[in-house]
Amino acid sequence: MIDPVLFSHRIPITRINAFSDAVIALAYVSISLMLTYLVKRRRDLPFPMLFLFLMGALFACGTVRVIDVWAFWHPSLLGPLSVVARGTAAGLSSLAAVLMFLVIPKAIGMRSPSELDLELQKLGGIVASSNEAIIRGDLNGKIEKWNAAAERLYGYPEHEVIGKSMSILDPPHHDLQLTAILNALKHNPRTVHYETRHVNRSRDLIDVAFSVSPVYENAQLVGAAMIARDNRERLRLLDTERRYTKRLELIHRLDRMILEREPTNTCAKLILEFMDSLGAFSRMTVVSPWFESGKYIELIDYTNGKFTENTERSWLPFADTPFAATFQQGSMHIVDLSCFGDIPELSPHKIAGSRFVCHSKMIVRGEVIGSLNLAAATADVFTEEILDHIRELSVQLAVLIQQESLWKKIDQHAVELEEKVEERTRELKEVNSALEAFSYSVSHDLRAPLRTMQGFTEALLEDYSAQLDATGQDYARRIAEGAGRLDRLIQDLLRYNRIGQSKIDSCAVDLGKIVDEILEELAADLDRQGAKVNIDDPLPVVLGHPGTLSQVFSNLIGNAVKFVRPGQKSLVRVKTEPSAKGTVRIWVEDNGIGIEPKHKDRVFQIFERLDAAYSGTGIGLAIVRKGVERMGGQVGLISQLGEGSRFWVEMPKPAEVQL
Amino acid sequence: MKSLVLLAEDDDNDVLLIKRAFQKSRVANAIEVVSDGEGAVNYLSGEGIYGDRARYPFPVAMLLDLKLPRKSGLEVLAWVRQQPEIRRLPIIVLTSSRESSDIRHAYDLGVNSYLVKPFTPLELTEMLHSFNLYWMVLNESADISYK
Repeated sequence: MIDPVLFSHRIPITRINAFSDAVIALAYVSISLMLTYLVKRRRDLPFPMLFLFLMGALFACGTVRVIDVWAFWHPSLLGPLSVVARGTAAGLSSLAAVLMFLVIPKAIGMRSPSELDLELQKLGGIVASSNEAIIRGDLNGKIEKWNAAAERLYGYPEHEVIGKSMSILDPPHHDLQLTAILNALKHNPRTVHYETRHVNRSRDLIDVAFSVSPVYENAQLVGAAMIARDNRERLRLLDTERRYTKRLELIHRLDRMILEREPTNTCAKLILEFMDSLGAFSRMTVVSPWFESGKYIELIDYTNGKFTENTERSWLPFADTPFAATFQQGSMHIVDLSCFGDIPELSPHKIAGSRFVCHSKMIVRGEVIGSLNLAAATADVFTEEILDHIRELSVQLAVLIQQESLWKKIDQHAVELEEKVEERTRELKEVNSALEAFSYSVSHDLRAPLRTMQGFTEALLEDYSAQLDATGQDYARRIAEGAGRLDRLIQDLLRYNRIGQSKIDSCAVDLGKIVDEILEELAADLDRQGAKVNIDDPLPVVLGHPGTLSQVFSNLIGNAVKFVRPGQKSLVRVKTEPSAKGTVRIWVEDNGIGIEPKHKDRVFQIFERLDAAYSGTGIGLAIVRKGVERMGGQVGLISQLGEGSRFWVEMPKPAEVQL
Repeated sequence: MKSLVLLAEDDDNDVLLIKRAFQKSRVANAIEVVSDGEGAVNYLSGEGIYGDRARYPFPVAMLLDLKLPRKSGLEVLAWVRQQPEIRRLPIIVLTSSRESSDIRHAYDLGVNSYLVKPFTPLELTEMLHSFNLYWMVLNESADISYK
């Protein structure tokens, strides 16, 4: 850079020089004035101090030139002034140079206007091409910016809305006024999200989701940016989701109802109510069972919010329609009722104003058990989603109907079973009462003639023995004995029968007492035979029936005494042995003739007699076994021929009483 | 007048054996026999020929078989116990049945004693001897106002 001041000293002053100095001075001053103007107008100008110093330096230099020109004519006058002006110019220029030196690195780092412009274009492009409506308003809600997406969303072109209030987007009587939102923003500047409805240019309501954020300039809140988006698709998805959730809840509820055995119609009504909440169906029906004969039962008809149950109807005549071929196959069809012409079977549909019917079959193991039918005036009601619901709920209905029919079958089986049991019980009772009548008759009528035979034979022997010789008396005795044996047989048989028939209520019975009573009854027999009976003291308390126990032990002890070799004195022992848990085993042992082991089961059979030498009916041990078994016990035998017999009876013990 | 026992028994043989036993046991009582339930009722109520109490005196006790034609022994028993005038008549069942249902029923209807016909004539004689001793000699009967 050439310093104009130094330059003027070296070059001889001429007029030309003076003129050029004047021009330079003018330029310096005007530059400095323009800089001053620039700094004053562009308050955001970077490095204003540098500009001020530059302005000062240029102004001082200009002043020096003016003095130089002045000195051309009056050189003597201006000596001191020139020195001051030059000094000032030198100082200010040096300061400007130093400042310049300091500022340059910063200035180099600054973005150029073109760069800034590009940046702005980029940002503007984002806003312009955004799919979301971006609107900027001032704090009073006046619209300042409006992008293309906003125009698409609301219908207003930019030039129509700039400067207007944002409240043009609010629907009338709206509780979420945009101006109110902006007011709130002033007090609490933060980004807030909303979902609501706005009105567009054609005054239609549109679902929108939007956020409002504060906009600052130089840390000063100046307005708000609103970003809005069409919310309809999202709401639609949410609605769909809600419907599917509702369907799931319905299915769960139906499952519980199935478990509770709620009637099918109650459940089917819930399904139809759900379907009704989905769309504009003019008529809905659930059909089951399915008759091939041309008739069917409509379990439920839901028309205009009214349920009708169990109506018999006739099939639509499909044969002459375009559906004839496909109707037998597949599980779901949409039928256009106008194909049927004017027929009486259509009347329920006509009343409801239906034209299209979606007919969904319920199929269980390949068998059609019913159908779900939904009718509507137009075909577009049957969206993919609706069809999916119909399909799914048809399955649920099939489960319901199948379940009910299974329950019905079970109930019917139960009833049949009960009837069978009743019939068997009745038969058994008849047999029982016949048996009772029989044994009653036996005990009365069969014994009477026997008693007559016996009675008169003995009367004969008593009253007319003088007239009968020994053979005659022997014959008469044989008649009496025969009659007596037959009577004992009959009595034993009646006892055996009674033990099998009568009700046996078990209770705790002291066996010791029972056996004592038996010994008292047998006392005469025992004395006559010289028999000896040893009884364990004490005998246990068992769970049984006193009368039956008495018969059992009376027979066992009686047998033990009876079956001894002639002349032998019988020795009988009754003892107790601890046994399995809850039972007790009682032994009746003798020193009698014994029984071969191979006969140990036969002896308990009725009419089984092993030795004709001993009198008896062959019923005693059969009574023992039957009696013991009826009391829940067991009986058995250990014996060898000639070595005595050991009979055992195992009886339940009464439950321990806690004292 | 000898005290009389009324025997309701349809079996001729039994009647014969009982009469024989009465004789054997030297019972002084007279015996009148009716062969069915209705006969017993008629006798006790003095119907028809039984109206002649000189010929058919009112009995001191009745031996009653259960299996009787026309009216069973239990029906006769029930009927007697419903007649205010004669309901205190001692009635002793003498039957061949040992069925506990018969025994229970008879006692429920108010029988005074229940005897089962013994099998041998000797036992029968002993039984009727005891019967006589007990009911005719030892037992104190209540007044009966019969027709």
